Amino acid sequence: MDSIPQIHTNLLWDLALLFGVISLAYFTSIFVLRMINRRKVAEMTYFRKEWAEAISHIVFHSNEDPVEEQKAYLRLKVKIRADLARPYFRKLLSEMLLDLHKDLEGHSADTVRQLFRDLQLHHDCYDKLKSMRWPRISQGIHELTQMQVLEAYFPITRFLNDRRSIIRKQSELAIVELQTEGINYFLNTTRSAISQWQQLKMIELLEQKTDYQPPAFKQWLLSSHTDTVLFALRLILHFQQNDGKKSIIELSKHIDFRVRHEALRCIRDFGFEDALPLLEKLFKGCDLDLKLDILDTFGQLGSTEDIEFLENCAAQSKDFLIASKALAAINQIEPDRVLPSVNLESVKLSYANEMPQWADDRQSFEVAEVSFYEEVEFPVKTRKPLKSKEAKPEEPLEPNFELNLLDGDLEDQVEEQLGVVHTVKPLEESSAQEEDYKLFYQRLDLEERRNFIRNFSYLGNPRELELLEYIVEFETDDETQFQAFQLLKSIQADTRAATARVVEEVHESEHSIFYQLIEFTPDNDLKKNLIQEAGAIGDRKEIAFLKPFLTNEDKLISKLASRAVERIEARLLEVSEEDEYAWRLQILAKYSQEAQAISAPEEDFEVSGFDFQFDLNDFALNNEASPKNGV
Amino acid sequence: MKHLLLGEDDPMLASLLKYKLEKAGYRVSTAEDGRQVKKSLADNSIDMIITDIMMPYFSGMELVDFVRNILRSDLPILLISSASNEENILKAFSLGADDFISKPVSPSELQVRIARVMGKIRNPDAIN
Repeated sequence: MDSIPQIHTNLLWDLALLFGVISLAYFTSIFVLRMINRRKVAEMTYFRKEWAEAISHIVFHSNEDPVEEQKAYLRLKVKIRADLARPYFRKLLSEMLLDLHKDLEGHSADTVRQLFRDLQLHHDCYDKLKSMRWPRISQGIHELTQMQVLEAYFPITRFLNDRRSIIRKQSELAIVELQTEGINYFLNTTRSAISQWQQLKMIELLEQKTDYQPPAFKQWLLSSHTDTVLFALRLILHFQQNDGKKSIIELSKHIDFRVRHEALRCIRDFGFEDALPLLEKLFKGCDLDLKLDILDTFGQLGSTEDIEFLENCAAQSKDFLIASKALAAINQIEPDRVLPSVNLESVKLSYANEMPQWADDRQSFEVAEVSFYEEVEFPVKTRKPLKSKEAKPEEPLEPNFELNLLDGDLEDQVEEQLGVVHTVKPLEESSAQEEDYKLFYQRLDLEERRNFIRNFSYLGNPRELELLEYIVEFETDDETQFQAFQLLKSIQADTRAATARVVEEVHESEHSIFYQLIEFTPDNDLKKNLIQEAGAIGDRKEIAFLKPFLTNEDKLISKLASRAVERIEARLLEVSEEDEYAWRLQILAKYSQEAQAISAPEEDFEVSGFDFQFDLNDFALNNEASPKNGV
Repeated sequence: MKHLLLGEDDPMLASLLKYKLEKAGYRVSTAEDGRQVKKSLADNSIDMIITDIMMPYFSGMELVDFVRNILRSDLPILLISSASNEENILKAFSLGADDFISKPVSPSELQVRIARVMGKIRNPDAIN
């Protein structure tokens, strides 16, 4: 029983009473404060409503108003001036005019500003400037600026280098806004950092000034205050004052990189090419951003003389950004001097039925194209300039009977130039099997050799070219040698033509308009549409263009390409038939009395039941074209 | 005399605009919030509504929607707003507002715009 704690009920009652009183006091104070506030708001609303009409009357008053209104206007002015002695009224009227000014523009806003000054309400703002509290000072500066109280310019200037940043920034804007020469004063006297936002705001204020004549901002390029120099450079750029060339170029050596960047911007924008030698010297000591900026400047202003410097930058720099920027600058000076060479997909193609897969963007396609030309092994030797043996008398390029007239080197070069295809190896490198053929040929008698050449013309193929060359060179019988030579020429011509056809086929595809279009087409759907369109309107060029798509991985593309090729071929066939038809009509019209009446075919011309083939054959049998009959 | 209904929650601005428009020859009724505007619409003599977008209880946009879709009325509506972003303007016009003016307002410009809208209404071909 002793362990049960004793409850002090009296103390609990006392505490409950205390908290009750505190709560009551708290809620009562809230209630009273709310009542006071509500009363104030109601008073203000009533006051605003009461004075709103009066102020409207004053704002829109004009001397042409009726006499009654003129009298009412004067009475209002007298009443306002009488009431202005009351601080509460002054405060409310000042707030009303400031609020109203925010919602108005044009002539009405000017009138409100004028009324504010006429009623001497700006003196209350001056009083705010004397306050110790920064929000009041800031508010005072803001109100004076808003109401365009020009006389407030000098009182505000003393806050220009205030240690409190909000007051300082407020005064900076006020000084620039209130007086045209405010910007000069600001640039002359400011010792604080000028934020980017502040700079933009000031430039905006200067822009809004009517008939503003900006001073020569280059004079502030000499300032010891870095932020002033920086802002002056921005102002120079904004107002396009390009007469400070030397100073701007000198500033590209400034220790503050922000100034350097801005100077470089000016150099680029104004096209100060004289700065390039200095920038070349400065390049090594700069940080990455500045280096990129300098390279950009070279790209825009540089000439071919600067390419060497840029190439060195690209070669020596370990930083990818600098190297690529330098290469980009080179290309800016001399387009396509540098082409992409790294991270390229290797695309191997055989010319017969493959073309590069169309890349999804232009850049990678260009890359694919380059790879294509580099890696396709055409059976045509690359043309090279003739070596220094030009002193030798020029031999006929077309080989005649005596091929051995061309000596070794020159022969090779001529053949290189002509694109002659050697599908067999030179004699000295010939295989044992080929040597056997020669030995076999040497053992034949004249008749057998003639038969051999005759059979060769039926059965021989380009692989035996070397043997033919051997025969042409060493055959003693003139007739056999002549036949062998004719055969050799014929085979070489065929091979050349075949090669040319292949090359032409590959290149012919590029002549198609769709080749260019598809080159820049990133998505497959559009490619499919282009393929269909090629089928609808294309000709032979488009067949060459479409062939690579026949083996495309995308089955739909290959199917569409196949259908498009069929359509074009069918159309080409129609065209040739029409041509033939027209030609037949022409012939018939010339030689047949009955056919004279037949003119060019019309759309509704019916050809059924009229066998042109028969007529033509019949006609052709009896009438061969000759100069005698005029054909 | 054309009867305008001006919906503006700032009594000072409302009074100023009313004064200006009355001087220009219009009869102007004012409303402090959206509900009052709605009530005032019962008065059939109103020829045009000029209203702020940001209004207590019933915004200007809602009012346009109400007039066009509930009342099915062609009453010309001119909106005033301090939020003159593109979205607001497009929305206002898509709902069926006839014109839009942004704050700060030039009372003279407002007067011209009202006259222009009223002029269009006078010409029945100009509607729709």
